[in-house]
Amino acid sequence: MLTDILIQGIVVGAGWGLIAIAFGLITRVVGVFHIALGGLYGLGAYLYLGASRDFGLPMAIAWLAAVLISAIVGVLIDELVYQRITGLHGRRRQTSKLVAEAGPFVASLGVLIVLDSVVLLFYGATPVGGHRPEWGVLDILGARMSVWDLFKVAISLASVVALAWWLSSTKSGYAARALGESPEGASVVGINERSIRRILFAVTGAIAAVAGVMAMLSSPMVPGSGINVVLYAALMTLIFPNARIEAWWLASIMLGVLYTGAAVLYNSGMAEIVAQTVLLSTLVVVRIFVPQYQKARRTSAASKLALQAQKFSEAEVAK
Amino acid sequence: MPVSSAELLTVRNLSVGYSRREDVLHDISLSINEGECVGILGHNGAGKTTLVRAIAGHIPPREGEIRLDGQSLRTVSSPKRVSRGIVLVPQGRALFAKMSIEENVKLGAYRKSGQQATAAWEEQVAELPWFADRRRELVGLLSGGQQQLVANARGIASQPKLLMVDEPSVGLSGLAVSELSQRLLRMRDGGQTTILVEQNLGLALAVCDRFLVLREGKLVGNYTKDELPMDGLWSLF
Repeated sequence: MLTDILIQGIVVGAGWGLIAIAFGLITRVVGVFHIALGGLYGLGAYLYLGASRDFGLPMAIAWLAAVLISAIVGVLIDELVYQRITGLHGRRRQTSKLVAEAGPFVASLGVLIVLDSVVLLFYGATPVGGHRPEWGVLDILGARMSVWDLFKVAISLASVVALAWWLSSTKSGYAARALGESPEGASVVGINERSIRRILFAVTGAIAAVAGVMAMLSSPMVPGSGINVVLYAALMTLIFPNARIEAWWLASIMLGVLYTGAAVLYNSGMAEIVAQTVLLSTLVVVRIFVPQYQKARRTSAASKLALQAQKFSEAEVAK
Repeated sequence: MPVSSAELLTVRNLSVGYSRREDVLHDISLSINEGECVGILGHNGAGKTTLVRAIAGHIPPREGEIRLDGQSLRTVSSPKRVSRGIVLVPQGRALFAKMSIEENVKLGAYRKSGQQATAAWEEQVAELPWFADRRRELVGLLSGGQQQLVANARGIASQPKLLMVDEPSVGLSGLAVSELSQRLLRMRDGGQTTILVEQNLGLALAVCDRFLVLREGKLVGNYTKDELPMDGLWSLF
């Protein structure tokens, strides 16, 4: 049973991991708490449903269409909502501090509600989906794992590896990291902030749709399903704000295993309580202890530099 | 390298303001020739930083015109001005603290190709060999003086036609200012056209050929080094 829990947990966590890396990336680079990703997760899933069930498109084409449209909607959310609120359009930084900081978050919640409501309007509240592809079953260490689940984990893993490679090895990835570090610095070296944001919001919108379609194909879904997933991602980003995206993904996998364990041993309600409680208590513990740790490290580095500077000055005086 | 008579930057009747009510710069006109190092002097709030930020395209002018090589920059965005050759090393440096020295310098050549970025890095290593030994060190852990040298290197990495350095000596020790001064002098001797915004008169006098004096957003003086009245220098401000 342990292997079953482990495998199913990894599969569940792999889906959440996609949202975690997308959410974390937007927060890190753009500084927006992109809660609307939960809406794109649902939108992608229902677009797939519409394309495959209502228009009869093959699975791959329907999936691709859902991903493309979600990517475009992701970019539009940034262009039409976040950028306008933060004053990126026209004369920059003219917005008040309160609006610039809280505005995108509140607007993001609004966009999430709009996207979920649009889906509800067209498809109603009845659970739909759950028709997973029958690609066979594998035997792994005595536990059964469907090829579909393996495919989901592979897609998730490939996404995190591709994003990590993009960030560390490409020009636009460097630019995204630089933008996250210092928007002013990015501006002085000639990085076009809006171009990088377009890439980011398109990629994260697409990732949310991939996760949404995978979830819909795995089990029945109702509008508004994205809020839980995006909340997990938000908590993980708050717990590890400076982590690499691989760490967010791994944390999602661990959370998935924990959730699945609680669901198997008790029920899904208990699993939700366990997952949220673990994340919230970790956040509280980390907030209490980690700043002291960081301060100690900073002090140590500063002392080392001061010592070096003193030695250097003494050497110069001696000369 | 001698100063050329070719005009590189022309600013005509420039007025800039942050709010709708009041301008920070009023009717500024100036020109800078190729190879010149021009110091911009003035008290706090005189509009020095606003002037270089407007030239870099970070603040849209309310009135007036900025031309580089005779071409108007009115519709040219800030990132595209970097491609055209206008680079600002801002006050406070705006480095990428959690990125390495090498990454920072290479990002200076962001608008160039990958090969040019590598060449720019190698050029900076030749100039400051300690870069090579500490290439992977995070910039946030360097001293203020070292950070300023990285910021300058990042600015030069894009091989700008016009480099604008804003208050580079703020917060630096005497030794660091001396090292910075040497670096700026080598850049000037190499023919780099530079605008230096500086309150440290010693540094500005050591490096620049010409001085523009700003007071309350207006250009009130334009002096060569020989014309500068050393006795009553502060009264100019």
